[in-house]
Amino acid sequence: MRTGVDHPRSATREAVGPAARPAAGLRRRPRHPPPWGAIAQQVAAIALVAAGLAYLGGNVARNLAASGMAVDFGFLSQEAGFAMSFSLIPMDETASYGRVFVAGILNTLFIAGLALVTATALGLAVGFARLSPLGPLRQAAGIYVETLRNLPLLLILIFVQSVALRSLPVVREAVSVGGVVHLSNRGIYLPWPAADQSLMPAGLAAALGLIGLGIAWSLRPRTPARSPRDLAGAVGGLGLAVAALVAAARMLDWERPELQGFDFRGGAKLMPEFVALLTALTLYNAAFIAEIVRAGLQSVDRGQVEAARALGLRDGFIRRRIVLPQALRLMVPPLTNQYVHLVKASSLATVVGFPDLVAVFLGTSLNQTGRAVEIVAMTGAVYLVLCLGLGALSAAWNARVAVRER
Amino acid sequence: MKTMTATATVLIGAAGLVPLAASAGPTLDAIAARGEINCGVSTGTSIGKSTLDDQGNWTGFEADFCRAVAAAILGDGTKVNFVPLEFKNAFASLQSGSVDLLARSATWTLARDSELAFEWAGVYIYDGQGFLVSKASGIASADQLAGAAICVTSGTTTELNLADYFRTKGMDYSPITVSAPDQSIANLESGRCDAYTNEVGGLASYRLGLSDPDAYTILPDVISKEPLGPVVRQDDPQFEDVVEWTRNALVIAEEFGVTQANVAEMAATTTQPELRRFLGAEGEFGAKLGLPNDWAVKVIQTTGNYGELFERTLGSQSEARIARGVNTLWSEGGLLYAPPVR
Repeated sequence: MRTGVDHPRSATREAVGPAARPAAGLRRRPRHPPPWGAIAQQVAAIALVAAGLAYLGGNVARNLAASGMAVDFGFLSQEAGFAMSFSLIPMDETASYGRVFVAGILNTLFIAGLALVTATALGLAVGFARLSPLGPLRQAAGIYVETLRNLPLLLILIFVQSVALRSLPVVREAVSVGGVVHLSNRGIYLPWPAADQSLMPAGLAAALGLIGLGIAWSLRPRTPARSPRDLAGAVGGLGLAVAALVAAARMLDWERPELQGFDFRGGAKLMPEFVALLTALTLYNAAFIAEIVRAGLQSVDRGQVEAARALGLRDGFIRRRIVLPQALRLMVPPLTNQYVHLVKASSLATVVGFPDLVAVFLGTSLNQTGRAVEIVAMTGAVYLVLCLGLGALSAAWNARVAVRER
Repeated sequence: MKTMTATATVLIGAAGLVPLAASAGPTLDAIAARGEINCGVSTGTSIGKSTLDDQGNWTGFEADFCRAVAAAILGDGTKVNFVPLEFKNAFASLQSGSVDLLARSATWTLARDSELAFEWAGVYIYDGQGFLVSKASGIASADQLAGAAICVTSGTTTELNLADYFRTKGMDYSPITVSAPDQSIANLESGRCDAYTNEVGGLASYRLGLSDPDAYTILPDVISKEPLGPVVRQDDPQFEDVVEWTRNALVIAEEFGVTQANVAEMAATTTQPELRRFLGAEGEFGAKLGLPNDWAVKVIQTTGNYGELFERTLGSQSEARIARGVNTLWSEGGLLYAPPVR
């Protein structure tokens, strides 16, 4: 049954339906001829670039074959024959070059990841400090940023290693803090849980402590008005967490470093090279991140802060829940830039002697095997993947927090 | 149309700038055309081997060896272009053709000879690996180094020998791996490491870089063989012969008592048949190598014979004061031996 609406036949035919002809007076869309000129240009450009790449690639292959060094990844299963002073996976002289490659990647990820976290934390703190109402704090942060931004990273690194760490005493005269932590120019020695013990009881207690922290966090006062019940819950959770973590620490059997012969045995040892690289990367990148943070915070409309204050919200709350979320949108691309730079700058480990990927693979392995093309390609691919990964994560985050125009 | 022309021109022009494949012509031709030899040496701190003095002249055993090769090929020992190279760039520079000859205390090993497509043109110093420790540490032998931190240069044979030695002895150690010997010396001096390992000749010369060289001693244990020689590429066998026979000329001269002072006179007056052939007074032995017949005279005039060269740069007349050890003639119980000129 059709609807009760009455359409005049002429209107139906003309205004509705896919085959409707346009009303009289309107021209049909003019059809442009295919842009043969532009297409030919593109094809020619692509062909030239491809030809250029083919020529270069062929050149490399021909010269390598002529000098008897065809591309061959078989060296990865050869025994490396050298030891690494720091490695996250078990390594010894009989490891293959492939294992050295993996250990180098893990070392790079370790130092870059750690430096990323510490630099961000310090950068956030300094960035906020630069906007602090306290004059001396603001000035101190300003001096920090201006100094460290304008010095080369290599200089800071060599300074930290040669001046700061060299000034520590030799291992026989190590400075000891509380008898358990020892500082010397050969390393910083800390107590560490002994190797052959069951970590289960301590692990359970630590898990309990973390649960307590979670409870305390979820009950934290989130509005300006404090509810006594929430406050009591938060404090109780915190107390439980602290007690559980202390109990966990007590349950473990701690190994203290003892001086035996040439070095301290037992406990954990922080290499000065590692500490120097981490410190330099953190200090340098934190200065840049502080400026990025400051720019982000200052980009938020003043009206937001004033309105929040008019509503009686506290400054800390305003900063965390109103200003920072809006500032983050602006900060993410430059922060990604800085993180990518940090990952690549971690290759300065060769200067201090920390065995990261570049030092141990691009340096030692290349000299021992002579496989320049393969090793450089592999190392480059690793850094490319790392930095592209960071960029992809940043793009995903950016898409989530992007300002949507209404 | 304009854009297409412009793009095409730019791309063709860029492709044209790409250097052509390295010409496979002999290294000797390139040296003759250039008029000087590109010689890769150390970065100027290897006292006794290759250092820069305060007038900017290169001195040392390796620098003088480069001059000897230049004297043989071009007749003039001053026609050398010294290229200072860090160890990690040394082999790559030779492979790529930036230098013709590497005189940089490179140890001759099977792997390097085969995989890296290089040729060692003989051995000019027979050395071995040792340890440098401070006298205050009380270490008297390498067996006492269990658990020590040992400074070593990355990528060298010394790094691998160190690992092998400690693995054989069942001792553990911490390698402090850096890219240059100067850093190792600084680490040793500050106490970061307990010992520095390198060839004994190198240890003696780098010890001079310490602020108090006499407070340090080289342990008596020699844990490996380190035959050091000049390195060339495999693509020019004739050039390799020339370098090898330059080294042999130094040894032969010492065998026959030919010195820098008396070589010209000997070339003119000697009646000893082998010496006459060697110094070019008879025969065409220089031409067989593609060199002028008086090539050996030019070599000895530039640097003196092996003994003079060693004593002047590394031995009793130098700061390093290294004993010749096995670097003496075979007839005196050493390892220096050269084939006959016949």
